[in-house]
Amino acid sequence: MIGEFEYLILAAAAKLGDEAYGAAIRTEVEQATGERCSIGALYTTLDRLEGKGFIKTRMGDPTPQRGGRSKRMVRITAAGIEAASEFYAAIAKLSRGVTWQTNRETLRS
Amino acid sequence: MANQSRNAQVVTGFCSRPVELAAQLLDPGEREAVVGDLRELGVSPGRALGEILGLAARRQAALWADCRPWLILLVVILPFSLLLSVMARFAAGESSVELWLYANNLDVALLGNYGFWYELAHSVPIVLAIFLKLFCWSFTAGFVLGLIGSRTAPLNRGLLVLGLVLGFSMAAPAYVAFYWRFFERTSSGLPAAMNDPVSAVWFYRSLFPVLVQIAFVIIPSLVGIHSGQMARAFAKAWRVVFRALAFIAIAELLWQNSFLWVFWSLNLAGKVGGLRQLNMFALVVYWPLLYLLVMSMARRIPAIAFTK
Repeated sequence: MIGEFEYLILAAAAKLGDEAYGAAIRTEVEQATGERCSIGALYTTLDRLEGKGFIKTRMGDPTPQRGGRSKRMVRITAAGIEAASEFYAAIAKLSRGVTWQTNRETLRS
Repeated sequence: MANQSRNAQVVTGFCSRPVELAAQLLDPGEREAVVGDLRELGVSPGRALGEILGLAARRQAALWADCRPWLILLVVILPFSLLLSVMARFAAGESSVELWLYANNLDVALLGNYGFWYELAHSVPIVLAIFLKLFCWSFTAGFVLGLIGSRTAPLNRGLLVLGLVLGFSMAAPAYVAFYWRFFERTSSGLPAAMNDPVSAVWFYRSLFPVLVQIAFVIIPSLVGIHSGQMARAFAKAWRVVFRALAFIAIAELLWQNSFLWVFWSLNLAGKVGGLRQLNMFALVVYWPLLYLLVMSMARRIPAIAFTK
């Protein structure tokens, strides 16, 4: 089973499709979570996911807005889609019937 | 047009020297992608520096989860730091006596003395050989480190310098004191007080050993690490040649300085000394001089190529 941050990156990569690369994934994750996503966490997780066979990466073409630097393009594999689906299904299954509002009120009282 | 120039300014501003230097800690491919990402996101230089250092720290931490870097630390960095620091202390001690004799006791009348020039001609090659060997061994130790630990090289470089600083300031003085106390106890060595006039001079006692450690140990070993890393890109045949040369030079280092590590056993010292008589590779110690010469020529003459 993948971790939650791994899931966020897989989901962002799947959403971005052919435009998935470091900076774009980071922006997606930060917008979705409202939390800062460090380059260190992002790139070490990309390596881990690639090691597990869940994504494939390649160096893209350099662009002027990046000062002529190349992008590390990310493509989610079939195994990655399966792992992300399993994680999502587990979260959805576990969350079924849970009313967070009620729980918060219970905690307050 | 104005937009382009503003963009160029942002790019130049981002591309500060510390950020570029920190990015050198990353692998070339990763450096390209990470610096490009940070530039595209418009991250400030201060934050970019923090992000790059954070990633480099994570990468190093991941590498140190393996046993190889620990093995390199225990088998290469620590022993060489101590050995080279002790050798530097001895080299500084030996040569400071010669320097003191000539620099602090020079008399115009001596210049007309044949014996003075005879002694000088005898002493200069000995002192030169001491420093050349120290330079070459330090280079070789760094070269081996650069050759075997490419991914941990940035940290290895820092650890070696730290080891050499601690080795020189703490471990080597303790070891040298133990060495001389041993000979005083067994009365088989020279009285330690014989060099008191030299050690009474602050320059020879405190500053000269530091200069020797920096110039003939720390700098050559860092150059050696860089050269070792470069040599990883050489054709296989050259890599084998340089590995063999480095191996022989290290063996020579241990043989020729056996008095430093087997002095406590006369029996063992005799056996190692006997092996030294069979030594046919004494000149191999100086291989770094030839290596550096050929490398500087290779930069100017494209026909000399070591890479595949």
